[in-house]
Amino acid sequence: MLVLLEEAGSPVACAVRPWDRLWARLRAFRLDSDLADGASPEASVALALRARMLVRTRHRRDLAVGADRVLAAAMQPAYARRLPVPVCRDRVRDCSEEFGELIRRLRAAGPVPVRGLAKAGVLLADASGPLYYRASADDLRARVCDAADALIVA
Amino acid sequence: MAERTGRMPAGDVALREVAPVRVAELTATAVSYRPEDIGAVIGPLYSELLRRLAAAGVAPAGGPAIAYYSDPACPSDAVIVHAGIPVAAGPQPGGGFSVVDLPAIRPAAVIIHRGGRRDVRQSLWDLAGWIEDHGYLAVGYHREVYLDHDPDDAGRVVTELQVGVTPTAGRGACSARSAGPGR
Repeated sequence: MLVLLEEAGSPVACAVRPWDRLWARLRAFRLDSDLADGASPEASVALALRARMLVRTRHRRDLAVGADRVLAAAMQPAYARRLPVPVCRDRVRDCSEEFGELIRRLRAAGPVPVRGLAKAGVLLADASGPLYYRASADDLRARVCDAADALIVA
Repeated sequence: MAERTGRMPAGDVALREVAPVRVAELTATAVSYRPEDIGAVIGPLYSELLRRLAAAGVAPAGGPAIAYYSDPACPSDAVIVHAGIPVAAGPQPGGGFSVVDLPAIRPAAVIIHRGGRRDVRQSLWDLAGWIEDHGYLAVGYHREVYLDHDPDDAGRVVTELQVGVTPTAGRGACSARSAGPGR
């Protein structure tokens, strides 16, 4: 398997070794954070592998299902117990429309930028973020809008 | 020794909390996170750490040695190797080592690896596969807790590999609930 990296402005084919795959899996959250912050998938083998995983249909569907569950848990207490980690339900309720838009964009047909998928993934998985952590000073609505906007193809 | 302590058998992955622990440690930079590169620096680190602890009159607290990893200041393939030994003592100015309080990991996916560092890949693959299959993302580098070793045979080591994980929310396969502060 080969991935394309960018070196000095030119594409370079780079062979993927088994260790690279393991590295990308063990560093998944960090790589997602880097991609969400704007790192290029062509910057390293690990980022390229992780980006390839993020754009898979199954992963995108999982993100949509995850966001859907968070929204359902916020709106209906019975669903809250089904989440592995409790969410700040009031915050989610306050931006339920934006959450709905994020879910729609995750479920929409056609390709989306990997950065948007990474932002959505970090939002849903970051235990120290505003979705889960009451003391987080981040604005959940802004984070949701940011992820949804990043899913639009420029 | 590990078997007698009632820990899980090799190959099984479990999800649990890892308690905080205070360690005395030395650090060095490995060329990469690959086992062979880490192995080249971690042995000498422990030898030197034990020598400095003895020189400072600091006795190990008795728990197993713990190694962990962090990123260097400048992003690269290199990784900072932290070789730690649990201690009860506080910082020892001039001792030539650091005293660090390692935070708890809540939760961690853990697996027992039996064998040398060269064989650790398979256990890490098993751990990575379990993490994905159960709806989690790995957060950061793993910790290694050396439960047992044979000083005459480097290949006869029992190591617990611990990786901090976070639920992906989309999969929800986890039955353990984190002590998250959300409401």
